Amino acid sequence: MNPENTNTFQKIYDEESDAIFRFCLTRVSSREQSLDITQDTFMRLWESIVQKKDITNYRAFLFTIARNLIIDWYRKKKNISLDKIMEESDGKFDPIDDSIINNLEIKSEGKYILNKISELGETYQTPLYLKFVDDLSIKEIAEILNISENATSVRINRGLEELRNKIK
Amino acid sequence: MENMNDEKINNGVNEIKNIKMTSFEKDHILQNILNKAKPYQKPVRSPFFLFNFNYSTYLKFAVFLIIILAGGEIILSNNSNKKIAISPIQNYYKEMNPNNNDSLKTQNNDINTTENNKVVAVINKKENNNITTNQPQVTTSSVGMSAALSPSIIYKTKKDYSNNISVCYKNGEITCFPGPTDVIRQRPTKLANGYLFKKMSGDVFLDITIDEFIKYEGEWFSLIKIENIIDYNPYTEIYSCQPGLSEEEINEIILSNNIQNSCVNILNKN
Repeated sequence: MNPENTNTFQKIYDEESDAIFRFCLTRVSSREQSLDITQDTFMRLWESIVQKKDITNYRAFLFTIARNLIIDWYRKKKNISLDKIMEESDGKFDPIDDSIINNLEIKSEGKYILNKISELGETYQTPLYLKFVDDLSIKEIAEILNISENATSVRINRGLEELRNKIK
Repeated sequence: MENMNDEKINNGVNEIKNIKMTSFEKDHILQNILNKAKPYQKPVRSPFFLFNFNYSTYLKFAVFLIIILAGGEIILSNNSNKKIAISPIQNYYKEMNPNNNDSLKTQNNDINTTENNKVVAVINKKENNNITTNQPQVTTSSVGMSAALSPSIIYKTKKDYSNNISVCYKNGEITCFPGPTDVIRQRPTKLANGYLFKKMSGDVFLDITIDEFIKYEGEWFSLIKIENIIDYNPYTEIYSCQPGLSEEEINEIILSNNIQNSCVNILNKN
C-alpha cells in the first residue's frame, strides 16, 4: 500500500467524513445505513486515489458519490425503478423526510430548520443544505447537482427567501 | 424580523452541524476501507485486441492481401530498379521462366549497361548457379539449422588433438570455451585421409582431454586457463566448406581431391 496514497486519503477522510455522514443521515432512515453509505463513498474515493484519477475537487466528488449512493439506496428500498424516481423528482432525488428528521439526535432548533428545509421544493432543498450546513461554494454545489453556477445561485437565493417566509 | 429569522436559521444550522460520527464509528470505517483496499492492478489487455481494427486498417490489410495474392510483387518487380529489395523476386521469376526472352534480354542488358552493383548482383547469381550444379546439394535434415547455416570446417593437426578440449583464443585471451553439458559435442568426427570434421568452435587446444573434463569433480571453469593451452598453432590444414554438408558429402569431396576447388583454405587467413 502506497503510504503517500494512505496519507492523502486519511487527510481527506478526517476533513470530510463528518459532513458526508451528516449529509447521508439527514436523507436515509437509519444511522447504520448512513454509516454504510459513508463507508462506500470513501471506498470509491480510495479507489480513485489508487488509480490516480484526476479529481479536481474532493469535496464535490464525495458529495456527488454520496448523493448517487443515496439514490441507489432509495431505488433498492422502495423497489421501484430509478427511471421512475428520476421522473418523479425531476432528476434530483434526495429528499429530506419528516420521519428521518424526528429520529435524529439533535436539538429542537436543528430539527425545526431541517423540517422547514424539507418543506421547500426539492429544487431548493439540496442547494440550500449544501450551502449553509456544509459551507460548500456555489461552484462545488453546481458541480454536484450538475447545473450551472447561475442556476445554483438562483436556487439558493429563492430557497433562502422561501425558508425565511416559512419561519415567520 | 428578517434578522430574527436568520438567527433561528443560524442556530438550527449550527445544531445540524453538530451531527457527527462517534470516534469509534470513524475509526471503524477507516479501518474497514484500508483493510478492504486491494492493490490496484492495471486491466489486462484482451488477447483479441489485435482484431479490433478500424476501417482504415482493414482497407490497408485488404490492399496488402490483393497485392500478395495477385502476384503484384512480380508485376512490380519487373518494372523496378534492381537496387530495390524486391529484385531477388524478379530474378527468381526469370529463372523459373527461361523461355521468357524479353526478361532474359532485359537481364543481359542490365549486365552490360548498368552500374557496378547490379553487375555484382548478377555475377553472384551465376556463382550460385555454379555451386548448385557442380557441388553436392545441401541437406539440412541431418543437421540443425545453425549447423546448416555455419560453414563446415575440416582440418588436420600436427598431433592428435581429437580428444582435447578446444577453446577460442584471441589477443592473449580465451574468448570462448565449452561447458560440461556441451563438451561432448567437441569431439570431432573422423573423415577420409586423416581429416577431422569440426563440431564446435575453438582455435587452440588445452592439455585436458574431453574425458578428463567430463569426469572432473571440481569447478570445471578452473581448467579453462591460458596456462593449459598446449599448442597455439596446432593446424596443418583448415578448410571452410559449404554450410550444411554431411560427412558423406565431405568425404566425397576429399576422396575426389576436390577440396581446393570446393572449399576455402582458411589456414593462412588466420
